[in-house]
Order: sequence, then structure tokens, then C-alpha cells
Amino acid sequence: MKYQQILNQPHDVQNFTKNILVKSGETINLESIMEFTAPHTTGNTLIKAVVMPGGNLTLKGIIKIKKTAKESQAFLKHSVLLIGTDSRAVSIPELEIENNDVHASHASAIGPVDPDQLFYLMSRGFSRPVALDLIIKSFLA
Amino acid sequence: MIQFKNISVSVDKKSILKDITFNLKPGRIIALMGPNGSGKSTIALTLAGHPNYLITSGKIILDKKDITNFSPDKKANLGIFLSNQSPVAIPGLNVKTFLWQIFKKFHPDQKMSLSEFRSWLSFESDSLGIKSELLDRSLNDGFSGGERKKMEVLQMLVSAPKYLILDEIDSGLDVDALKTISLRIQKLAQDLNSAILIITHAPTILEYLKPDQVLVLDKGQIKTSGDASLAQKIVTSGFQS
Amino acid sequence: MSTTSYKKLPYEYGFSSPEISVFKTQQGISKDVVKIISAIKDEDDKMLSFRLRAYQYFIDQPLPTWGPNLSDINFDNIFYYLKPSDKESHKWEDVPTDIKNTYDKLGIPEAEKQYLGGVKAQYESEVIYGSLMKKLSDQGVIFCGMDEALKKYPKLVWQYFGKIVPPDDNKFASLNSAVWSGGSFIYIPKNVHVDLPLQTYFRINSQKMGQFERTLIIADEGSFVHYIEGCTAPIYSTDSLHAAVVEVFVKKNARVRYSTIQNWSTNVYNLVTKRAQIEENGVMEWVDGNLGSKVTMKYPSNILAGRGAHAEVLSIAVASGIQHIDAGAKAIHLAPNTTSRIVSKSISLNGGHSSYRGVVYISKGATNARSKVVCDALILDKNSRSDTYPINKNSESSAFIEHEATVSKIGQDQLFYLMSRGFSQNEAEAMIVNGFVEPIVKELPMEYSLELNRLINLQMEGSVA
Repeated sequence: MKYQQILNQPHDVQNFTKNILVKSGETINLESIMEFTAPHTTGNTLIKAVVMPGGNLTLKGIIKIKKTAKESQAFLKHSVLLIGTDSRAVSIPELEIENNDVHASHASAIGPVDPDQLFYLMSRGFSRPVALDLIIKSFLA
Repeated sequence: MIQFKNISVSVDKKSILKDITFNLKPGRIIALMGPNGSGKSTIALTLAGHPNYLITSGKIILDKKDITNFSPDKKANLGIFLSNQSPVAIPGLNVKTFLWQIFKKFHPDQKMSLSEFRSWLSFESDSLGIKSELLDRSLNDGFSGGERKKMEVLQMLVSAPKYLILDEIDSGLDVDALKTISLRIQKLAQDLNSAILIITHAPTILEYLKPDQVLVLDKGQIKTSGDASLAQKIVTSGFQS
Repeated sequence: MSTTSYKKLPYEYGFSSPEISVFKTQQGISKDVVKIISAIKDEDDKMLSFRLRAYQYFIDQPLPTWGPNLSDINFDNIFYYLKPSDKESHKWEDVPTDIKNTYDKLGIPEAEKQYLGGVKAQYESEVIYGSLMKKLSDQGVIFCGMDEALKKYPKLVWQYFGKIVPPDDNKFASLNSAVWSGGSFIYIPKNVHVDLPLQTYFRINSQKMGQFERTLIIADEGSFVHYIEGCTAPIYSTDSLHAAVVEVFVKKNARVRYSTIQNWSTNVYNLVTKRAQIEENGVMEWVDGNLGSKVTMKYPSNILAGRGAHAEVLSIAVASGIQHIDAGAKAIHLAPNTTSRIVSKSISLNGGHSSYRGVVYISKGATNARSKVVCDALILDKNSRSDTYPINKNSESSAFIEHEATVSKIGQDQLFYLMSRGFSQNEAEAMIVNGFVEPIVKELPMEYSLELNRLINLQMEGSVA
């Protein structure tokens, strides 16, 4: 899947969000490109994903801020939860910044479910699989 | 004396202040009050020369010198000191080193050695209730709101300014800390015969730094002006009266 | 060939006299050039065939299709070997003015200026050097040039040489493997801690700096060493290509810190392959300062092979003017409980271009591994540019990779704050930039960190090369 967005009008604001569930044995590739060519633009990319056992995910997110995009703001986040064993993910967040009067940042995290969250739910009486399911559902909500 | 004469200011093309006039005289205290968004901080930042605040009309005169469009450092070097409402952090800038550099800039003739300065700093920061380990850290990096305010006061003691602008210096400080720093500022101002512009919502600080004049701001204009008793009235009856 | 005679040259050339005089190979590289280099060094067949194999890999591999533009490198125009002690020196008048000015501004003493400017070929201080060497050898530490190590300790060297960076690793590692000369060899015995940093700074031995230097460090179990190379003052080099290889073996419970400050003159292509292999509970720390060169491509890599191994890369890049610095790091987690931390700070100014390029790979089975990468970039003006190209690959569901990056200019609020305290705009910018790089600069020994700060400030004033 490839998504491309260009912010070419001054003061343009665009957001791209996607929640992905990679089922067992599935392979999903997603590439998003956000290109800023006009000034005072704002663009946010937020991708959340859960990869089930045997699943495989590749996320590529590119932010390009051109010389003409003064005072623009760009943000990208990849949050990936790996469930069970044999789940894999690759995150490639790229930045190409050609104007200094901007603010661009990105964050990427790939890892297991927070053990503190799991403990919290289980301490409220939920079994492990149910707790995990709850966490996954709320993560992707 | 600083004359703030018929100043109008806009930010991001929006008009924030309209035709503001007041005088900051040596040894006198002006309290600036008003609801949130009335433009109080705008006055403080404009006076200090923040580049985002565009003076669209009026003049700022310091002892007959037109300083309306002076850059922040030029204003600072003329003795204007802004204590910020939310002091920003500068990661990697060591507090002691920073203060020593300010000292050297403002007191080039004073022959204090670095170790003498450090002792003086220790003494003053202890008196203000600043934890000594903060002096070895990066400026405001990870400091609580109250610690940042105290850090502003410490800087003030180092540069010894003639014009103090205190933008909500009381917020974030507990009762005891407020008393300590208020008394210290009071002493500094007395020693130097400094003028003070104090922005606040709460009356307590005004018991230590008693204003000679109170200005009430509303929607970017001075709505009322009076003496210290006006402040008390506002606290009891609010801004609408 | 512009040489007189040398012993042991291939028969075809018919040389027989054993006299050694000024020697340099013809321009360009070929199998014969490689053979001559090996012959001059009086190497055995094992190294000769290693070089020849590498040469073939070099010829077969194309230039990388990513990263800075390398098409201007003219491989046929380069002298691949120059005997160090007879290195042709140029006159002081030929050293570019801006480099001379930098030496003055950094307060470099006269004799050192001559060396750095390439006017004097060597600079050694026998007294300091001599007593340091004695102390080390008493501990069983080996610290010598790579050429010497190959001759004196062949068994030890061959156990490790080319094992982490094999001759076919990448085009420039292949080149280095074919024509390498100079570089350092360090062996630290078990449980020995070397307190004084080992340096190739010109104060110790000039022969260890060179175009194609090859460095090999072996820290045996439980040992510690800190190795420093390079210097902050710009090195005026007429050699346009520097392709070094560094291999570091960190054994169980050992710790190695490798600090580099590179400030090659802006005619140099600096393409370096640096890699460490870290065993159980070993620690590898790279502190990498990239200030000079026309193009730098350097990604200190860490293979976390043993359980509990840890690697850190702290990297600074300052790209100004025509410079393109493409630097970063790699962390490959192959064992459980391994951790890595990469911190990259870059500054682009005056039209400079800096890029971060990195890979974190956690393989399946590297349970509970953790990696954190933080890249911050400051672009000081509208003509400069910054890129970030990270790859984060996690194949172990119990492991965690975290990555953050920001690119911005100097914060307006920070600038106003410092100016409102009486500092001019230039002073305020310099304070903010120094604060920006402080977490990495503070990891360097004091003399380097002071020089580095001064150098960055000078670059910002626009008054130096």
C-alpha cells in the first residue's frame, strides 16, 4: 500500500492516520510519503499496528520538506506491538529537510505489550489472553 | 525612567494591545492585573523586545533614548530584566557557567575571581532555597516550575537590573518560597533603586512588593488605574466591577 | 615508476639493489601496484594473497547507489602508496590561508602547525612517548603500528585480521584491504585496565595516520582501553581519498572506548568502515566527531554477539559549505539481553548537508534486547540541509526498539531568552549550539572538548575552513 500526500497550499493541514492489524501469517507493507512544498503547512502521520504471531509488517514513512515550505510542521509516528512469537516488523521513518525554519520530528517504537499494562488488567481479574485482547483493541481504537 | 507611550502591539497580524501608556520610575512599583488573555504578558515581552511582538504605534523611551525597536540584548544591557512566566530550558548550558558569563558582562570592572563568584552564588542560591545540585545542571532542563522561577531571581541578582519586569513570578511557588524571594527582590530593588513592573493574579506578593500604582488590563486596553487598594478590590470582587 | 631501487620487487622489473630511498608507486591501482606495496613491506605470501583477493573484490564491486555523490573520485589519479618517513612535504606557503588562520585561532603551537600543515612529516615527542610505551609493555599491552604488528605477532594478528570486516565487505573496505598501510594494532591482555588513553594524535606517532590505515584492537576478557584518534585542527592533506578500516574485538566482560575527531581538509573523501564485535557482557563505546572532509561516509557498527553485550555510539557531525557528512551507526543484536544506544547530533550551516544513516536489527532469539536511537539535527540557515534515514528491524517480539528524531533551527524562545540576558545574537546562538552538542562533547578528554567547542564556534562565525 502506498499513500502520497502533498501539502502545496499555504496553511494546508493534512493528517494521515492508520490502524493496522497484521493477522497471523500475513505480510503487510505500507509506505506513506508526505511532501511539503508550501509555507505554514502542517502534516501529521500516525500509524499504529499490532502484529500477530507469524505476521510480518514493513512501514516506510517519508517526510520531505522542500525549500519553499518555510514555517511548516511535520510529525510522524510508527507504534507497533509485537504479539506472541514469530511476529516481526520493520519501521523506516525518513526525513529530508531542505528549509531550516521548520519543525520536523518523528518517533518509532516496535516492541511487546507493556508488562505494566498487562499486570494492571490481570490484577483486575482478566485472564492473560483476555487482557491482551483488551489492550490490542484499545490500542487500535 | 521608562516611558511606555501609546503603545499598540500585534502578534501574528492580530492586534493584542491598544494605546497603552504608563511610566516606570526608579524606586516605584507598578502592578499589572487583568483576566487571562488581556495582554499582560504581551506588555512584558514587548518591553523586553521579543521579536514576535510587533509595535505598530507608540514609543518606548528610556531616559530620553528611543528604545522602541532595540533588540533584546541591547535592552538587557540598558538594565531591563524580564523574569519569564514560563522560562525556557537550554539543554547543555551549565547554570554556573551561564551565570558567570552574565556577571562578567554586567560587571566588567569588578575584580571577582571565579571561585569568589561561586561562593557568592552558593550563598545567594541557598538563601533563595535553590538546591545546590541544580547549579551544576543544564539551565531549567527538567526543573520544576518553582525552581525555574527561583532561577530567574538568581539571574536577576547577578545582573543587578534597574528595571525589573516580573511576569507571574509568584505562580509555582509555595507560601514560604514566595515570601523568601519577594523579600530578596524587595532588598535588591531598594539597593539599586530599581523600578518594578509586576504582573500577578494573587494579592500575596503585593503585600511584600507594595505597588504605587495598579493598572487593570482588559482586552488589550487599560480599563482602570488606581493605587494599591484597587488590587485588593479586584481580588475580592473580580474584574467585572 | 618514479623510484630508484628496492629489494624483493617482482622479477619482471629487474631490480636488484637493496638500497632504500624515496619511494612512491605510480598513480592508479593495479595488481602490480598491490604486489609492489606488499613487496616493499616485505610481507609474506599470506598477506599478499589477501591483498590480491581484496583487489579483485574492489574491481568487481560498483560504487554504492545511495548516499553522497562519489562520482568525482578518480581512482586512476591517486597514489596508493607513499613510504611515510619520506613523505614529500610541501612548503608552508602552499598551505591554504584559511587553514593557517584556524591554527592561529585554535592556539596551536608553531611546531605542531608545521606538522599538521604537512610541512613536516613527523612529530614525535620521544620523552613522553618512551616512558608511556615502557609502562604499557610492562602490563603486556601491545600498541604498535599495524605493519610492525604483522611482522612481530603474525599468529595473533591473523587470528583477527579481516574477520569482522572481510575483504569483500564493501568497495572501500576492499580497497583498504588491498592497499592498506599504517594504522594501529592494540592488544590488551586479560583483566588489564589501561588508564591513560592511547592516542594516534600526532604527539605519539605520525605513521599511524594515513590514507588507507588499518586498525585492529583486541581487548581480551575483562580488559579496558580508551583509544583516541585524529585531532580537531584541520589536517591539510593532498591525498583526496581516505578509506580506513577499523576492527575491534571486545571479549567477555571487556570494555573499549574509541574516540575519533576527524577534521580533514575539504578536498578529502573520508570513507571509513568501523566495526566492533562484542562478546558476553562486553561494552563498546564509539565517540565520533566528524567536522571536516568534503564527503564523509562512516557508520560505526556493533555486532552484539554475546549475551548482555552493550554498545553506544555518540556521534557529532558539523557540515558546512560544500561538505556532505553522511554518518550514523549500526547495531545488530544477536543475543539475549543486549542493549544499544545511539545518539546523533548534527549541525548543518552555510549550505552544508548532513545526513544520519542507521540500522538497528534485532534478530529472533535476542530476547529482551533493547535499543534506543535519538537523532537531533540543527539547521542553522536556509541554505543548509539535513536528512535522516533510519531502519529499525525487530524480529524478536520480546525486544524493544525506540527511535526519535527532530530537525529544527535554533529555537526562537531560547534565542530571545539568552538575548534578554544581554548576549548578542551571535553569542546566544553559539551558546545554544554548544549546549546542543554538550552531551557528546563532554565524553571526550578535556583538551579535545575545549578545542571542539572553539572549532564549532569558529565555523559558526564563518571565519574558518
